[in-house]
Amino acid sequence: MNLPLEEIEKIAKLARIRLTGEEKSKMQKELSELISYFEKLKALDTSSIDLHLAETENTNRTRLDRKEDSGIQQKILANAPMREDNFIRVKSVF
Amino acid sequence: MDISELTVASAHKLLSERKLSAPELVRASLARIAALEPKLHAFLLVTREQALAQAEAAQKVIDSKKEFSPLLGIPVAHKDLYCTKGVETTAASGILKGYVPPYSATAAERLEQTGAVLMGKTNCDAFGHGSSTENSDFGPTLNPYDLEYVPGGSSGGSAAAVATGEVLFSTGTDTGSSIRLPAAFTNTVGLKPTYGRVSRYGIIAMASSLDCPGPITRTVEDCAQVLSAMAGHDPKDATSSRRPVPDYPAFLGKSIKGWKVGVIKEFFSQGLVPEVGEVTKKAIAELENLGAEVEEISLPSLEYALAVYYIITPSEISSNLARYDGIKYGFSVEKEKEKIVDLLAVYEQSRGSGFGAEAKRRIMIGTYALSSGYYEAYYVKAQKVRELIKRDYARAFERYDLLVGPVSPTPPFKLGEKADNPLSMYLSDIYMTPINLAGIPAISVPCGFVSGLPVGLQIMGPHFSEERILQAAHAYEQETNFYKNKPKKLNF
Repeated sequence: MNLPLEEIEKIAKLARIRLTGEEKSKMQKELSELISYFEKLKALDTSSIDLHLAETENTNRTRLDRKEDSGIQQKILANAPMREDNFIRVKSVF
Repeated sequence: MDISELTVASAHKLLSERKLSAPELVRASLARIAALEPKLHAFLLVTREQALAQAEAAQKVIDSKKEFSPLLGIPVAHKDLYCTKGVETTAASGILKGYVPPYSATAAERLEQTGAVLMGKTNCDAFGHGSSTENSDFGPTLNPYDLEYVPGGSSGGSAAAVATGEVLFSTGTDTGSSIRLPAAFTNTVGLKPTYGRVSRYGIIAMASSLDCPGPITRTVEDCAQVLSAMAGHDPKDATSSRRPVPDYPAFLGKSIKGWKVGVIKEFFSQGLVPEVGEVTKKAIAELENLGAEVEEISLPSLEYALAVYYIITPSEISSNLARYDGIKYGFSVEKEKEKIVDLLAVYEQSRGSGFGAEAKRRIMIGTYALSSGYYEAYYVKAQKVRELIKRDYARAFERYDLLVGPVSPTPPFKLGEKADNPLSMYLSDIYMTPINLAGIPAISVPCGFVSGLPVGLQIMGPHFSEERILQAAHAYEQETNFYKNKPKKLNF
């Protein structure tokens, strides 16, 4: 049973990806197959697991809020598709 | 001098004894690359001029000092997920074609500091998404043992480059199989270190709770050497471990007599090709000859590992790949079309056109699994089952020093064989993804052939037990010498 087209379109919107009609049909089928496969997890009893108690050896580390010159500002800007002086240019957000 | 006969260790010896110079070695590597690449396609980029300059610099060090690093002057290639300062890094994806990182990954920098010579960037499945290197946006790499077959993935280029002697070692990343599978498919040694053992800083991220950078080499000794250079705490990676790095090479050559080794029962079930099972069982019997006490063990949660992996990984991928939006770097429709209407269109069309099919598929699954209404049922559930898997391994390692099993249920498969069925491709990872979910280390070491195609033995240990794994893998390797096999069909 394939995922409905509206579902695929909703996910594509969330993911900010434009899909062609053909890609959407393919996704309907492929995602459905994968999601059916995921159903097997329902068989497991995980009621005893509290994720907040999961162990880790790392603790949160902070650094001083101190200004530093990376020295690579121009190299970073060189990769930008649309650039104006020392700014990355974007379409209007609003 | 035949570079395909050399290892890092033997090359270092020749350099030390002045029987070989670093420029000679690097020129041999360049010649080999030039001869093989038209067919093999292991490389996306060859850094010829830089390599020759690094070779000269290495030779100056050799000439001036008595002792130098075991990796100095040695040709290396990095998987194209490793950012290399000033050298194009694409993740084998069209969306990053032309991207030149302004910095290097810590792991790459550490290897550069040893004096190893960068020969170029290797091909992989785009963003690491795949088990065959067929998902590269720039064409697949072929298996040097038979060009109609895949070299495994996602670090297929790195594995093929080492298997053919184009370089003497390479780097990869392993999120769900991607070092171990190509190593197994190309008769090379591939180690997935413990999560946090090697810094992920500057490695283009796939799944941040699973990604592990690591070495691919011809021998276990070389692997120990390269891991020593790559491993260690990095303040730039908050998940990197502060545990001290053992002297890995010092553990090699020691006996494994009396070691308790568990054979994972679930790995020998349906889906395993019988010939691969036989080769693996023979390898395990060899461990018994070496003095290990081998027993069968059941880890029932492993049956669910693949489902857990293919929920968690795409979820993290969908988050990590959100940064490729046509704004800061990489492919952007803004460069191509004057009439893009608005910002949303820039995002949607840059990503729609820039990403390959597998990246889009994984982003979509991840977005679905994390979306409101499904998050609890899929992502949270998967994380809970992941805890069950970790507990199974912890329990197993209370009894056993190591666990063993096959790397892959099948020998290398043909190009195109699994292309139409994503789930079938994902099943290649079935024996490896539990390891990533638990964060434990594992190695693939050559253990034989099926119809002329390589097979790997997987040896797993508890967290931060790489020295134990290397010791066992070395003992096995020295008894069986499979690493001495070389690809013959390409007529090098």
